[in-house]
Amino acid sequence: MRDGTEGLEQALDYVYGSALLQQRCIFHKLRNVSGKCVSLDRKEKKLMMEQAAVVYQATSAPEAQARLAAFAEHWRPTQPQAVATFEHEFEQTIRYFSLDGIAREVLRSTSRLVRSNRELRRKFRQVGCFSSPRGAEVAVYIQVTRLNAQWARTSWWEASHFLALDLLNINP
Amino acid sequence: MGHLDVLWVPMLECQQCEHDVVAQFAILEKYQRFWLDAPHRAIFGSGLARSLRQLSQEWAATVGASVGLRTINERINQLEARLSQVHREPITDVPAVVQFDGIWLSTQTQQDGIHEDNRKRKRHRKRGKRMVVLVTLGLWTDGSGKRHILDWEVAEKEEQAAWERLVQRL
Repeated sequence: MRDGTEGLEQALDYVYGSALLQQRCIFHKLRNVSGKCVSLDRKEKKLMMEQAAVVYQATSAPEAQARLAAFAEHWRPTQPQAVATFEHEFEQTIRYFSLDGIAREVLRSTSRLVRSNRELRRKFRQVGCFSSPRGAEVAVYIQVTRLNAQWARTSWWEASHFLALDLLNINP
Repeated sequence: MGHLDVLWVPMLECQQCEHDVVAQFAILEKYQRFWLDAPHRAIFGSGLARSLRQLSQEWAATVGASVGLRTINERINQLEARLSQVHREPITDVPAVVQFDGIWLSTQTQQDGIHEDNRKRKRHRKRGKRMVVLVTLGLWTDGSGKRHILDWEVAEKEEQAAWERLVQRL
């Protein structure tokens, strides 16, 4: 699961080749489409984005393609850029149809990671500007450990205690 | 916990040769200013997004004297020594789905040249720089709802080389 960053796609292709099924995040895709809307008031934009979201409520890949075609036909005359953005590499956003047995919510968007990143951002905002890349790396490490402990239902107090013990081992 | 004004640490002497015997005191050492769980408190507070200033005030209240921000920061940053090992830890339980994303932050980088700050102290010139943290989150689809941040990489930009370094480690 990834956004549309080219470097990431190339890196995954280079390391894993075709063995890996890559799925583009539909949330990022819809946000990009929304960003390309021009000269629409709030109500029209809302309507357009609702129709765009309906494309991903299809039950199969061909149905999603058909819904996209209908969407494009309706909006292309007034919103050509938004439609072009939607159509660009659209197949990469509907690969989840080829996977059975995995909950679609997990496969369609990177929302869980976006939520985790929000926690990291909370620390970044508190610091403002790290005095060195080293400080930034350590701050990320601490936050990652805290989040992983939280998801594993371990208290942060306990998890941070282990980190402190590691520190004592490094520097007795 | 608190401030001990006068603490006498016993000096041991061998009864036969009359030489000093080195004794390791696990709780307190002579001239020790901070208690053993101080790093723990610092890491715990930092994880909860408390600022160095807040941590400094907390420590100062406990030891009864001011504690520099740099002192606390240096203690926290000692964790850097663990990073190379953390990035090399094998993934034993492989997740079905891995999500990738980047998140931006600001850092300062040291430049050539020295300048004087407002208090006439000599300081290296520094420059702000945006950097990105590339993050990978593993999700398990066995109904356990398990998720785990597998690894991360601090890079200058979201370019192929940076992603490759991270993906190769997975």
